[in-house]
Amino acid sequence: MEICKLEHIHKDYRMGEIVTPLKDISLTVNQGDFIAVEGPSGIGKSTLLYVMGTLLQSDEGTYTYGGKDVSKFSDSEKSEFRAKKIGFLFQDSTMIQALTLRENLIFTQGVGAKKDLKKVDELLYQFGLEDRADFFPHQLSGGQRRRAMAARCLIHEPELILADEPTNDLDEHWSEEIIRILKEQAEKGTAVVMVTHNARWASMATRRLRLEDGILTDITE
Amino acid sequence: MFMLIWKNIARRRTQSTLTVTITMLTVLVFVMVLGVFQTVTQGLALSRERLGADAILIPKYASAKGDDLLFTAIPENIYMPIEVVEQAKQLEGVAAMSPQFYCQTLALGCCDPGEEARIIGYDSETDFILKPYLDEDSQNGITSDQLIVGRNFEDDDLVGYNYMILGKKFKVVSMLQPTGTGMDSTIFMDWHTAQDMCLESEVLREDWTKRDPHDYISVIMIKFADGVDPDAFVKQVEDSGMEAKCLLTGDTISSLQSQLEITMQVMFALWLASLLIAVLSLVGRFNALAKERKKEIGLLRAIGLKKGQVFGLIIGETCTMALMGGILGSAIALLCMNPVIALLKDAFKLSPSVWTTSLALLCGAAGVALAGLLGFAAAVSPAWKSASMDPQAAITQGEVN
Repeated sequence: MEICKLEHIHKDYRMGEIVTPLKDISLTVNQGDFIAVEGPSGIGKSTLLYVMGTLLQSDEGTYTYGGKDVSKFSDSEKSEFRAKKIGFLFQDSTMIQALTLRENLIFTQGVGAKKDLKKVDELLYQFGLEDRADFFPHQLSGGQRRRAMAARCLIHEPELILADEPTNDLDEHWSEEIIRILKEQAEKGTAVVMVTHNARWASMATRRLRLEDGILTDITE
Repeated sequence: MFMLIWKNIARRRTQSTLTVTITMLTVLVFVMVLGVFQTVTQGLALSRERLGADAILIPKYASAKGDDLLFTAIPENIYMPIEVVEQAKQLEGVAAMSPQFYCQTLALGCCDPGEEARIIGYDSETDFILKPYLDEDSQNGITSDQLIVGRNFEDDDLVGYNYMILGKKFKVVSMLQPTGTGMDSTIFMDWHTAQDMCLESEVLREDWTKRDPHDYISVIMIKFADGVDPDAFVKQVEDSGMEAKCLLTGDTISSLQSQLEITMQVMFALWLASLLIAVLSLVGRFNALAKERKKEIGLLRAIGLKKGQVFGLIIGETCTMALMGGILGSAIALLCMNPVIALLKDAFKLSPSVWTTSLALLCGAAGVALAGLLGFAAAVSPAWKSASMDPQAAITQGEVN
């Protein structure tokens, strides 16, 4: 079942000269997809995730989600859409510095939404952070922060997970564990789009795409 | 959301303390300026409204000033012949007149009010000055062993207490209602008793070796009949040849008011300058804070917070800090008001009206409201800029920063 569809997406950045990370991107993401997007650094993989997560508006093309044209959403509708449907795992450590790890997870369940504290504890356990629940982000190691961000990405049970280099800062064990959890999420029906440099992790995806010269090519073997 | 607001304030302790301190100092100065202005203005208005006398006749060559006579308890040993009373009765346009005899300003051992207390002998038969401030029982006059005291002497009711003044025993029969003038720090006795004391007391007798105090008075309080031109009355006194000159109380109050207005304008100008400095420093602080938190704001937008919620979060933080500063500043200012009013009283030679609880609450509330406005005004632009930022730009630029 289709979750979202990108058709002829084009995005330019004007930074003195015009840079075009996304020239003509077309992609259909279905429920249960585990997609790995590969490609050299600075080629536009993160830009693709930002467009899919409605954090960035494309210049051309259409992006539909659940059959609705996302580009026509108001700013407020996009916020609501992100809160309910999207789970972000950013490339760099990004957490709310004033909140403890547990509070970060609770807050991400939504302002004014019913809080599922059992789910919070389950995720903390799953990511080996139960003894760091009351630590602030600056008190965690890089790997612990990465795991915490992964837990936060799942806390509201999104339909689409956008993971940008999810194994950054992680050791072998936790890299493998995070990829396993993402795969497990996909098997449960969540769509996962993962950006990675690592061929080993990319090989665990159900579909492999390569972004080069602003165009996506399917390289699934 | 409230939890996040509070946690953000608590986490950036040093920065939050600075913000609270800036607001606190601004509000402190504001509440004090406002409090002093209100108190003094109301005191003057009260004096004008309730003074009773339109003019005071004082000895022709006395150097006493109207504001000293009206608003302070500063000793003024001025005397003119008692014949002036009869001469004053001949003046046109006098509706009422009452002589007073200034005895001495003393520090009284047994009932020292903590400041100089002026002793005045007044004529209860003709008096129209004290009457409005006395309860009904005391309006018919006092005997030679009785006293009426001003409200500044004691918080509690002194009525019924006995006091020794210059070796003579007196009983307090009434306390004046607050007047906002020097009467609040004055002890009133029968004027003949005051004259007698000048001869009986060893302390005062030295000044009266060559003259009899019974032949003198200090001032005559005068109330005009309707329609009297004050300036024409002054001229009439000058032309009468009597040993007195006329001070118009309205002129004295107006002159004080204009002096005060200039002083208050300077104080407000200084406060405005401090407000401007506070606004600029807070705008700078909140701008820096928004820049520092760009990445976090991008994250908040990414996890679904709307523009309005991010705006509310930043405004909530700044207004909370500003209100904390406002409450602290107001509280400290209100605690400092009594000593400040006491200082001003000496500086301006006037007795500001009583600093009431309702006035204190009003000034305190105005201070807190100002703090809220200050926080909002200083944060509205950085908050809106942060909330309106493209989420992706916030995250990536935040990383660079």
